[in-house]
Amino acid sequence: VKRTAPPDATWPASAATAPDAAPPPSTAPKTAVVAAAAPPRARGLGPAILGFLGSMRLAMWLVLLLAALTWLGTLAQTTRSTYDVQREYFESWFVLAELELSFWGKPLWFRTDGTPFALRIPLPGAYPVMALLFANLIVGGLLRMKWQARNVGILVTHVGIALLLVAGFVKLHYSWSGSLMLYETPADGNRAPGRNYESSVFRSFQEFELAVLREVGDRIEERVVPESALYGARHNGRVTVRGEGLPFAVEVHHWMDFAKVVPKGPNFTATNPVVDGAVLMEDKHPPGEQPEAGRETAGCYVTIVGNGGERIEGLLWGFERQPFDRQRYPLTFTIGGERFGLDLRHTMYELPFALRLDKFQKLDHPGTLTPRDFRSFVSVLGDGQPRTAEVFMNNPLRQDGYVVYQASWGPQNMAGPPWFTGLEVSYNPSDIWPALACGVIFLGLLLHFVSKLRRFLGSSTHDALAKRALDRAATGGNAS
Amino acid sequence: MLDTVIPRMILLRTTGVIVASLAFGCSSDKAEFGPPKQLTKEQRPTVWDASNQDRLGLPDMRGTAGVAAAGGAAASGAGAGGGGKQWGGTTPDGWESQPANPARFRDAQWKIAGQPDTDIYFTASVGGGVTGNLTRWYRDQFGQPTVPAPEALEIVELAGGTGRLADITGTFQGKAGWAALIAFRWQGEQVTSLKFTGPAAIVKAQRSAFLEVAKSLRQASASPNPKAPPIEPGQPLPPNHPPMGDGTPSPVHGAAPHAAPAAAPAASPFTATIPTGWTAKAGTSRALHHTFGSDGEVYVSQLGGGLKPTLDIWRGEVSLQPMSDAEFQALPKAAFLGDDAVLLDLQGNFQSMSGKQIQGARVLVMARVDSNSITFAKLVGPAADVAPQVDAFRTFCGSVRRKS
Repeated sequence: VKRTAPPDATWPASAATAPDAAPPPSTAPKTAVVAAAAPPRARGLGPAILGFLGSMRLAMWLVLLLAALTWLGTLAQTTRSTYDVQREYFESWFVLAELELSFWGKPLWFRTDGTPFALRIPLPGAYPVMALLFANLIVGGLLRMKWQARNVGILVTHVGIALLLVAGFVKLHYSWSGSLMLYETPADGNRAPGRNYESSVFRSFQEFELAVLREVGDRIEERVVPESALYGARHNGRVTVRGEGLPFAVEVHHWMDFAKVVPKGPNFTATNPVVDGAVLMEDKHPPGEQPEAGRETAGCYVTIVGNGGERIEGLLWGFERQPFDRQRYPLTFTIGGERFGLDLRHTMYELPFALRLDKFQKLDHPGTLTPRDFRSFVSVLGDGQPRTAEVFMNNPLRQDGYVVYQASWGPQNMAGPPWFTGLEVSYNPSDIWPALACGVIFLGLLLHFVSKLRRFLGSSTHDALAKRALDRAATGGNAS
Repeated sequence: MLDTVIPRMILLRTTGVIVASLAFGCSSDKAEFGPPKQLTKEQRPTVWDASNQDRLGLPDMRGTAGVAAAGGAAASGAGAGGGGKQWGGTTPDGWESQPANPARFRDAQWKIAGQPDTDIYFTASVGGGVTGNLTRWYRDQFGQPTVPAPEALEIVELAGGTGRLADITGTFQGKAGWAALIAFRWQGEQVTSLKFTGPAAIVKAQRSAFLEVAKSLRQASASPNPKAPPIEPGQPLPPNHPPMGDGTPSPVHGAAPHAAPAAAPAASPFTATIPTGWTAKAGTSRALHHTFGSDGEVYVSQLGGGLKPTLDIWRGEVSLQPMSDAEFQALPKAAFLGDDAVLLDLQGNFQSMSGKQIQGARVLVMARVDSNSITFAKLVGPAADVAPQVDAFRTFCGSVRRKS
């Protein structure tokens, strides 16, 4: 068999047979031929870039990098929340991964402060790695794919994998999710003040935003800035936030991703500013508790600087009260005779409809208070007639592109009824793309398998094997 | 050539990644609010001009001024983390009680008569942690080179619990020959302490009196209206009052309930009128959990399961056999949660499933089937302590209500 198999030129392996190569004369199956045409020799930077982007060597390194990131990211989740690790390792351009050197769970070296020594490994984040993998798939396919009917399966499989990567990209950039917590609406209509019985707003699980509010007649004017724009205020940083037409700027400082507010007492020395008897401190998960970003409340200090030079100091904490209280309690201040509010809160998303919890049902396992089923009976309130829906595990409500899942319930301290429900609301344009991609990949592999099978059945190898089998049968199995 | 270009590409790519990382990693010190959005007040229900306490979900830090001591006892008004409770203790001979000063986290105060340099005060449940406080007391205030571990200090009684005693002598805030006695105990970051500073000779002479005061300190209910029932942790606040600081745990985004605000009392889904002499128990997950006497406690809770098997389990805690059906049917009834409930009155040597033991105990249980669970009030304690509490328990059970 004449083979030309440079180490970097085997992709796609099954499609790499030179078109003018003679059929293999030997008994080796044709399908085993993996020889590939060498990539076009680079002539100039453009072809060289394309050659590099489409190379098998790059694909191999990218897959190895993904494996390393997955391994290191998994290890990181023992001390960090999944959300943080996901953001740091898998949604970033660059990561300084930490690898604690240990044997059988015991650290091998310690720093002088007694903490285990960890290697710090600079790696590209999974984001650029997957972007390159996507480019590698497309370019490699275009450069090396032999546009023949027998390669349709390979082509379809590549399209499926590319669709999977695109779905991840769309989900990362164009989807959002959060929680909506609602109390059961009292049958007698006697609603407790402040409680959240129906709402068209859901709140991000982990992300915060800073909002400035002011009353304009019978309406509220609101402007927001996402927390990602305030990360410069971490540690000793300071970020100045302005808004067009606002008579003040907000200086954000001492930003903390996980903060608690405590009254300043005599028993400790506050390292952060004390505002009206309260101080903001870094919080941490209790020992043994798996870190969970959803439980982390951000906080910061603000200095409001009026255009006339006035300065107002304040402390903000993104404490969430729903469903017990749907009201927000912003830091209120007056500048130029006008009242404003500043509110640090979970990022709020508006739904094109409202949900009302009509009833919550919880059925327990016999003899226990452990629920075996819990579900929400909700009304979808829109422009037309309200429609009712039942939301329970694996039976989400789909409405206007949003998906509403049953997530939790409460109060879990025996206080129900009345109960409240915790719904997860998700908006993801690529919601079903991964399922489609899996279908496409399955179809591609099936086509490829059928194509291979057909070629094998029509090949001389098959004929030879069939003849040998017939001979063996004729001689009673003694043919060799 | 390809072979020479690839390293260049890797270099270019690496440079690109580093540049992008720097661009993403180095946050700007300027930001802009987004464009204004008009919303209805229904969409953004807002409480303007809320106090820090309401806004940040802080406990009632600064209550009314302390109540002057009377009848040989020092007492305070609302204290830091005290949940609106008074603290009181004996005032030994030669001591003078002073008004509490919640603004300075002094829930009870004394001086030694005729010794203006002495300063004695009690502070309940204030953050800072035990290590931080020991460092502050020993190193920062007395300039001691070493700070002992709390376990190395003498054990003392403090405010109904066990604590440790820091006994420090040296130069206090520039004053040589001074001393401090600090009885303290801690739970998590919260430290409760009774501190006595003054000239060393006086402090040492008052050591036994100091320990007596530490032992005598107790929390008691207080209400501006003596006829009004005390407000329990978690009890609904008056209408239109911002509902913060009531200890209701706040859930967050579809997951388990969020941690309650700092130092907020435990959640209680029930309300009740608490009999005199019962003291609210802190740091408990049970509802309306109180203590009385030397080792008595009472609480409201819920369990799954059938009523009779559950009652039989409680009988087993005092080594009694399960009831017959006839005995079960014959159990007396009393009011609980606005309806009839069975009353169980048991005596014997008590051993709970958690291992708690009381010799010569008496157990009172009021239980009713509530939906698909059992809601009950349970009182356990030494028989001698329980006897005077029987009527109080029945009254208490009759007053228990679910919060709306």
